[in-house]
Amino acid sequence: MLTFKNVTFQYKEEDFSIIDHLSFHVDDGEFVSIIGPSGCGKSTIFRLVNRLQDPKSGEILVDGMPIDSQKHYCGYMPQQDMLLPWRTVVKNVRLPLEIQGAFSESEMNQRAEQALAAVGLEGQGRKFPKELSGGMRQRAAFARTLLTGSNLLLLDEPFSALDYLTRLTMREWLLEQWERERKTVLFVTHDVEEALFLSNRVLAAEGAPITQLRSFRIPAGYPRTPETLQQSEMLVQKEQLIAMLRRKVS
Amino acid sequence: MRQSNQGNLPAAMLVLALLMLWQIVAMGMDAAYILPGPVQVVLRLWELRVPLFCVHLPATMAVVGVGLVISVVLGLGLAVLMDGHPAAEKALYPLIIASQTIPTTALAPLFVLWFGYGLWSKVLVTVLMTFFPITITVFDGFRSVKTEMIELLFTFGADKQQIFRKLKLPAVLPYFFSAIKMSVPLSIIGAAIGEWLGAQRGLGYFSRRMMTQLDGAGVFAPILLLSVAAMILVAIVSIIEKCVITKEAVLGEAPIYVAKEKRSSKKRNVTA
Repeated sequence: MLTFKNVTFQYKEEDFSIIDHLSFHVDDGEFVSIIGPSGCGKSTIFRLVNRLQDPKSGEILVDGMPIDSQKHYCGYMPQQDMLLPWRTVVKNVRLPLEIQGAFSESEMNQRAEQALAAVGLEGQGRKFPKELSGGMRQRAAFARTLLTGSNLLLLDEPFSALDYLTRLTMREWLLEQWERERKTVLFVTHDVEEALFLSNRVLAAEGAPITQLRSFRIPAGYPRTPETLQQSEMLVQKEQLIAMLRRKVS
Repeated sequence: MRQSNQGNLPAAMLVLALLMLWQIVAMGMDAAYILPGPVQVVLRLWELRVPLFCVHLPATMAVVGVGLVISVVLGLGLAVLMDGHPAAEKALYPLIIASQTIPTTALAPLFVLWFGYGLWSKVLVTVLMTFFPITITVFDGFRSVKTEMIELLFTFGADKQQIFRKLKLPAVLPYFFSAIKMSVPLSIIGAAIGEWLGAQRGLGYFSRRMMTQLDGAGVFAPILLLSVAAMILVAIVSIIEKCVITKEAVLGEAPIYVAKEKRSSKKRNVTA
């Protein structure tokens, strides 16, 4: 689905490459989390995939084709919900469709309502974003990401701005969504537990600059419950990941 | 707007008290050519209603109208240009700021010299006074749009024009309206100054003519008219703003929007 081939990237303001000859691959339908200490360049990987930045060298392929020859190949969901405050929820959600410009008014509204229903926000479409709770806004943002129509979803710490309890609920909710939609999800987080709970596979950043992502296959199968995290093999995996990340921080 | 009429009551009472004080002092001085009382001013306004309303008010409003339209076009154009092209911003922004150090009022006689006693010398004063707040406020509005928002729309495949239409334009609307509300009184001041310095008609011109005749109430009457005109214009702009903003509920600060949120926050259920 997504392939990085020897990708190198450097920010103009910096004198080193934050991503250095990085190669990795994500299969179709996988849920892959990228973890690593803050500031190591996890989000930069996303900025490269959605073409907000162009790599200095190397190639990024989606479905075997270079991304610069494609459009609408990925749906990006940022940390903040980024809902436009002057638009109602339904009008926010249909924004990607408006931009693609290939749909009629009623078609856009219908699809937006469907997407809202899919994320459990039926009947909330006429409200304004400020009238929703933080968790509901993130779900609306997720619905908007779904309407990009892409099979590759990039979720950049989508729950980091939420309170702890809401986060716990939201990650179970996200897992349900994924099991139903079966889209490929690339999920950036610095929360090891969150990564373990959600993913088939965890890619851990080996320090900064990122030259390699170490891949860990998560032992537990789906569906998962909060108890899954208490299984001994998950606990071992968690300890191993935390130990690795701590070594890097120190 | 924010509060009900009860909130304006203290202000209204203060105005009334000040007017009464003015009237008492004026009656005590008993020199109407220096300090006419408010009652005398209103009476004089009534006596002069035909020339004031039929000749001079329309003349001043023409200057204000033409000046404002030019300023809005110029200000919006400059703001859009500077937002779209960093090079234009670097070249123009310092110039626009510097232009404000020019004492427009002192230059006004020169404009009369160049453009004569007609409409355009006054329009120029008005434009010089009002294009600045419009340009800078609207430009600030463009800059208030978060980069992350622009980037998100870009990842949806939006081009520059779509980002402008769907994101920047609605975000800038409240800024635009405050700029206009700021500019209306300024443009009236500009027009009056222009007329004061050289004109054949207009409220500023009329006020000066009355001064040469030592008609104190006659000086005040057009000023009163100017103030009322400014208030009415600002009120009209506010009404237009409300209509536009209600339609799209622009930004979280919009009044209708805040009211709505207050109501709903109580019944908001914790959902996640």
